[in-house]
Amino acid sequence: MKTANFNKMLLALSAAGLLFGGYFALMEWFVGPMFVTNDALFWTLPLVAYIFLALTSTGISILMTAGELLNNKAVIAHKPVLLTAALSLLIGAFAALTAEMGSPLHVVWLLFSPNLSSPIWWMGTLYAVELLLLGIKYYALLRGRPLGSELWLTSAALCVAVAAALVLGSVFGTAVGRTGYQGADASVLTLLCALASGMSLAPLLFKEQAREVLQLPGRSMLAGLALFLFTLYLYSSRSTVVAEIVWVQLWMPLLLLGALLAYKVKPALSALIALPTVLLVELFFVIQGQMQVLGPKQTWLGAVQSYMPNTAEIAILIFGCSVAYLCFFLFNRLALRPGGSAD
Amino acid sequence: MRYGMVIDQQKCVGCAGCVFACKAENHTPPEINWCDKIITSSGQFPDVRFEYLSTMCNHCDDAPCVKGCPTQAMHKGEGGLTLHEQEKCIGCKACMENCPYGVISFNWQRPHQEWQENKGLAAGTFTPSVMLAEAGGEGSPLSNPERGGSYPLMRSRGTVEKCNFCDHRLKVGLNPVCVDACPSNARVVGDLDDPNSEVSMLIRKYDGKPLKPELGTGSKVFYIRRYTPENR
Repeated sequence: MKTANFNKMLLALSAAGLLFGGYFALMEWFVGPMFVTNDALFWTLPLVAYIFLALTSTGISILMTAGELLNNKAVIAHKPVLLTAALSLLIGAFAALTAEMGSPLHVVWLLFSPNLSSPIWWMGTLYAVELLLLGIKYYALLRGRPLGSELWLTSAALCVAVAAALVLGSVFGTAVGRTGYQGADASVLTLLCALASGMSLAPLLFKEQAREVLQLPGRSMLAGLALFLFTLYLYSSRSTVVAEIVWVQLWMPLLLLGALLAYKVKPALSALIALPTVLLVELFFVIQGQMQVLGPKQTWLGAVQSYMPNTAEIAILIFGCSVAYLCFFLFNRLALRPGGSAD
Repeated sequence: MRYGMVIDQQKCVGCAGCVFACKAENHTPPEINWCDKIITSSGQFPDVRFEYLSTMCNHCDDAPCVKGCPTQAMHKGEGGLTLHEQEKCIGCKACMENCPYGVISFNWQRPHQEWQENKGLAAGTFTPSVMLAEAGGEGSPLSNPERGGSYPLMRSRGTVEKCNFCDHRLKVGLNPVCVDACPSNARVVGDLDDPNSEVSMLIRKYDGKPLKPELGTGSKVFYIRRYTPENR
C-alpha cells in the first residue's frame, strides 16, 4: 500500500475511533460508569491506556531530547516528527485519563491542592510540566527559530520525562499491603516500558536511511525490558508468598525478543509485536496488584478478582490512541505546512 | 488526644448492629458500608471455625491513604482522625490502592439514586420519588441532618468515602454510633494517649492487636481476646 493511502486509512480509522471512543468517554463523564470496575478492582484498561500512551510519549521524549543534547544529526533532523509524536501521545494519554477519572476537570483539580508526599500528585504534575515543555518546544518549532533557552528547555524536558516515568512506577511501588505492587522494581518496570515502547515506535517516525542510529539503543531497550521481565518471571515462579500472584508470563520476554530480532529488517513488524506486548505487560502488572481482595470487601466480592475488559474500556484505549493520532496528524500538518518552519 | 477503639472479639456476637447503625447515622448508599465485617470460615467438619471480625477505617497514625492522596482530600484531623473532604476528592482512587485494610469505598453511581425512581413496586403504590417528597430528607428519606453538619449527606459520583469515627458525635461528647449501638458492649472508644482511659487499659490487659500490625501504619482500632492477627 502506498504511504499516502496508508496515512488516509489511518486518519479515517482514527476519526472513527474518536467517534466510537468519544461516545463512551462522554457517557463516562456525564451519565454513569461503563467500566467493569468495583471497589476491589478499580484501575483497569482505561488507566492502562493512559499509562501506555504517557510512557510511550516519555520514551520518544527521551530519545529526542537525549539526541538533541548529544548533538546527534539523525535525531535532530527528525526532531519535528519526534516532537509532534511525543506531544500527541501525551495529549492522547490525558484524554484517556479524563475518562478513567470520570471528568476532565478532575485532572485539572489535581494541580491545585498539592500533597507533596503523594506519588500521584508528582506524576500528574510532572506529566503536566512535560506537556508544557513539549508545547513550548513545538511553539518554537512553529515559530521557525529556536528559543534562547532551548538548551535548558531540552535538558528540563529530558529530566522531567525520566522523572515522570519513574514516579509513575512509584504510584504502585509505594503501596503498602499489596504484595504485587510494592517495591522499587515498579519504577524500573515503567522506565523500561517507556524506553522500549518509545524506541519501538521511533523507527516508524524516521526515514529509512536514517534508522541506523536507532539500532543499538532500540534493541538494547527491548533486550533490557525482556531481561527484566524474564528475571521477574524466574523470581515470581519460585515465590512461596501466597498473596503474590505470578503476573509475568514467559511469552512476554519471548515476544520482546522477537521484536528485537525484527527491529532492523522489519521495523513495522517489530513495532506491531512490541507495542501490544508492552501494553499487555502494563495491563497485567496493574491488574495483578488488585486481584487479591482486601479487608471486608472479601465478604462482598470474594477473595480474588478476575478481569476481562469490556467494550467501553477497549473504546477508551481506542479513544486515547485516536486522539493521539489525530493530534499527530494536525501538528505535523501545521509544522510541515508549505513555507512552514520545519519544512 | 488520640482517638482509638477497642473491639472485644469475645463480646462481639456478630449481629451487625454496628453496620446498620452506621448506615443510618451516616447515610451511606446501600452498596457502601463504612462499618463492615470480614467473615471467614475455616477447618473441616466437625472441626470448623466461623469468625466474624468487625472492621472500619483504622484511622492510622501514619495513614497510607493520606500520604497517597494527591489533593489532601484525605487528611488528618483533630484527635488523630483520618478524615475525608468531599469537595477536594478527584476520584483518582489512590487512597483505595494505598489502604491495606480495604475500607475505602467509591461512589461509582450517584448515591441514593433509587429514590429518584418514579415507578412503584405495584400499581397504586407510592413511588420512591413520591415517598421522598412526602417524607423529606436530602437524597433519601433516611438522611440524618446531624451528620450533614460536617460531611455532605449526598456524596458526589466519582468520589470516595469512608468511616470518620462519627466526628460529628465526638465533637459533642458522644460516642461513635457503632459503639452505642453494640448490644454486647463489645466496642469501647477513648483516648489512646491517656494511660488511664478504658481503651488503654483494655489494650494493656489483653495485649490488644490492630489489623496487619506488621505494616506499621499505626492503626488505632485494636482487637482483644480470641483474635488471631496472623490470619488477617
